[in-house]
Amino acid sequence: MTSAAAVVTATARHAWHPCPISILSGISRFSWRHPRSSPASASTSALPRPKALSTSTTSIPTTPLRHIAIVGAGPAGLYTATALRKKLPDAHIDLFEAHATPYGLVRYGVAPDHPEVANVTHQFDALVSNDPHIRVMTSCPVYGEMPAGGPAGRAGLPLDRLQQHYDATVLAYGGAGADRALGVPGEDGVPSRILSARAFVNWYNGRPRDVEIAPPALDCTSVVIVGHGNVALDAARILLKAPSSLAATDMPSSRVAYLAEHSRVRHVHLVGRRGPWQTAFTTPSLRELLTLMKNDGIAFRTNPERFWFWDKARTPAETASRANQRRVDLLRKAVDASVTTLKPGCSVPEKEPDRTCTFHFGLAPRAFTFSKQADSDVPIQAVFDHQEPRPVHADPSDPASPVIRINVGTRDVVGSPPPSPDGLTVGTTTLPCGLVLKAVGYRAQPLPFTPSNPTRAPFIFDTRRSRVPNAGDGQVVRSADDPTPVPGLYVVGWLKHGPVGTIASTWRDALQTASTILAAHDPAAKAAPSTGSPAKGGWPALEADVAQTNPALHAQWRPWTAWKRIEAAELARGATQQPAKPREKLLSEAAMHRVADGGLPHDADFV
Amino acid sequence: MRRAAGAAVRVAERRAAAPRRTAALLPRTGAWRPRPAAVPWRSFSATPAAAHGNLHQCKPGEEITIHFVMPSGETIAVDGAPGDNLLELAHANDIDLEGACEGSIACSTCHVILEPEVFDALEEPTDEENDMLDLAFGLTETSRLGCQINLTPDLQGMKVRIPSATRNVQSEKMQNT
Repeated sequence: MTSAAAVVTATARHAWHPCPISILSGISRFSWRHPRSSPASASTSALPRPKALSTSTTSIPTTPLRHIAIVGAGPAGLYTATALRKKLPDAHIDLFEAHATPYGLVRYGVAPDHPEVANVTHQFDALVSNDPHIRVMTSCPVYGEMPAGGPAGRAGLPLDRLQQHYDATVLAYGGAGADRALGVPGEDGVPSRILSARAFVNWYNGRPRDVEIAPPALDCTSVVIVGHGNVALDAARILLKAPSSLAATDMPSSRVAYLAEHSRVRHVHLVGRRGPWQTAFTTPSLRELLTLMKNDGIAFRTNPERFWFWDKARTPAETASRANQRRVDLLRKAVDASVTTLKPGCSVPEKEPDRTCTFHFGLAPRAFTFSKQADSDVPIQAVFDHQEPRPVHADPSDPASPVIRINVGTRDVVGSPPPSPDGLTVGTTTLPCGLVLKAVGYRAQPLPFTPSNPTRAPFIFDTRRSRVPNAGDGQVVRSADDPTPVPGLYVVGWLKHGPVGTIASTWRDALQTASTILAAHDPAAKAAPSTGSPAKGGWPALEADVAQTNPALHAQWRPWTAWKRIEAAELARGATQQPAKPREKLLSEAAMHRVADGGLPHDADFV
Repeated sequence: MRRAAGAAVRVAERRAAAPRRTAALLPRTGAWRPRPAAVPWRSFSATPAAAHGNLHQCKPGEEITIHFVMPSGETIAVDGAPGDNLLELAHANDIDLEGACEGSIACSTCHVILEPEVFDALEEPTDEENDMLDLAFGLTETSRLGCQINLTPDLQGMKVRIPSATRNVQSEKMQNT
């Protein structure tokens, strides 16, 4: 597309921007008959145009929108397909999924004891299974470009092929491709004992791996989890729960058995750099963990002085949020209850509880050291620096002015910790343990084989913020520093705004990106007259292209029916288990491919 | 499209169409079950009505009319029976109310806004519902989860506002979601 066309597109987008909701809500009510069975419904589904645009003919989008490609069949991609389908009953929407299975983190991220969250797959399944105009190709990774000499392993589809054959391409491959690192000595020392929570989540959710790695070392009583987010709480819950309570979930039976046979974990430490107001977990997750602890007799532990000290370190914005208030209130209640049980002067000597979960506040990781004593229960010494909250006032010269931000000071690795102005504990805390899980956030990554030469890439991945650079509304731009839109390329979900948020926020985000796409294209157009370029061919053209130029991929990718065979095998296997499971996941890609092609699953495929 | 003015007409239309819808409803189950391969009709709501259990039957004259106020401002009047919840009612009538977790209080997508007097007359939301409401976008003093509001004769004629899901997405702070 020429730059002139790009300007038109950009103008249209901005002109429409103030009222994106009108695009989605304009036709909020449909006939419930099949869209293509009724010519009337198709005509009423034409994109309504805001009146303001009719005065400016130059800003009416003219690029067609008949063929849409979506990279990734997780919740972001499938919700975008849902939203686009509602407005475009005649468009063809094709999703390309790297794995053999769809649903992304709903299958491999959501904890197995949260089956309600996975209910969202029902509507996605209905969408794809019932609509011949929506196609999902699995085992089809999309690459930044075709690697020179072809990829050594799996075949993939270069992004420019999608752009060539589709009117719009949406990047929805997720933001959980990698982890944020702690950046402290020793964190990469012992892979089976210091690992990312993402690796642990992948393990307990049975995600197939390219390279087999050893299961996490659970032969210890104490585990340190670094991070105060929902992933940290998920990991704590899985470690503290009785394995028998996970038997009837979709956690693979072999993982449940491993936990039952090998886990000696009794004490979990949840360590956060800051205080209760800055915790990133949500109230439902916290309440669930506290309820589990209450029911299972797991003691809540914290250092109450540090908790109350950090409780005061809050900004007006943090206290204004109802969610923050309720979450901190819940923590305060738990702290109060734990303090009461430890009241000094109580004549009965306190019995050390069998199992504990300790919340640590204001501790920043400093180093991990590993002792090679084979029989030690606590081979790892996790050392943390005490952090002191420092309020930054709106008016720095006036301590009474509102606090706008909390600084935690810089970690002083070599020197002594900064002196504490109020005499509270300074220094370090060492937590001896046998396993460290790092749960400080996910990190999105560029597509595999993204060209290193930026002139060959349609956009430059924003490595600093770990996202695809975009205008905030889903329109991909050239780079974080260059707001020139890349015509026809969009981004949605964690890849767009960072790896934070629930299904609900991904749903809303998908609606937003869908409205951006609809605003920039004219679904009625057959071709782009401004450029004279021919109409895009969509799936038939792509398939012919791949069959000719990329036979390895053509042999590798699979349609939705392949996934349905995998699913049927998993459901059947799950029903035969004692107790019955909602599904028993196939645990290797090879087994999935065999079953997808009509083969029978073997017992070994589930171990 | 005429909406508020033609509410009575549309209610009548819906009643005429209702048997066809309910025939396709599956009994609610906790476990996942594969959908029938071929479904004779296709719902436009994001979640198929089939996933949301049976609507209750009621005698003629006992219907409870609910007015859904859509994000665009239009009002859609639908009739439900005592015991239906707002999410089920919306889906059975093809009203665009998302319900990702299918009414199990594991998401906040069926967030609706009630009139203050109706909100006050209802029982307090549970802690679990309030926890999820915390994560809803555009939370108000009278917000509830649609899946937790069961119809009773007291709610006859109530207005239920469905908030816009897309406004100001990028300006919203994404933390704590």
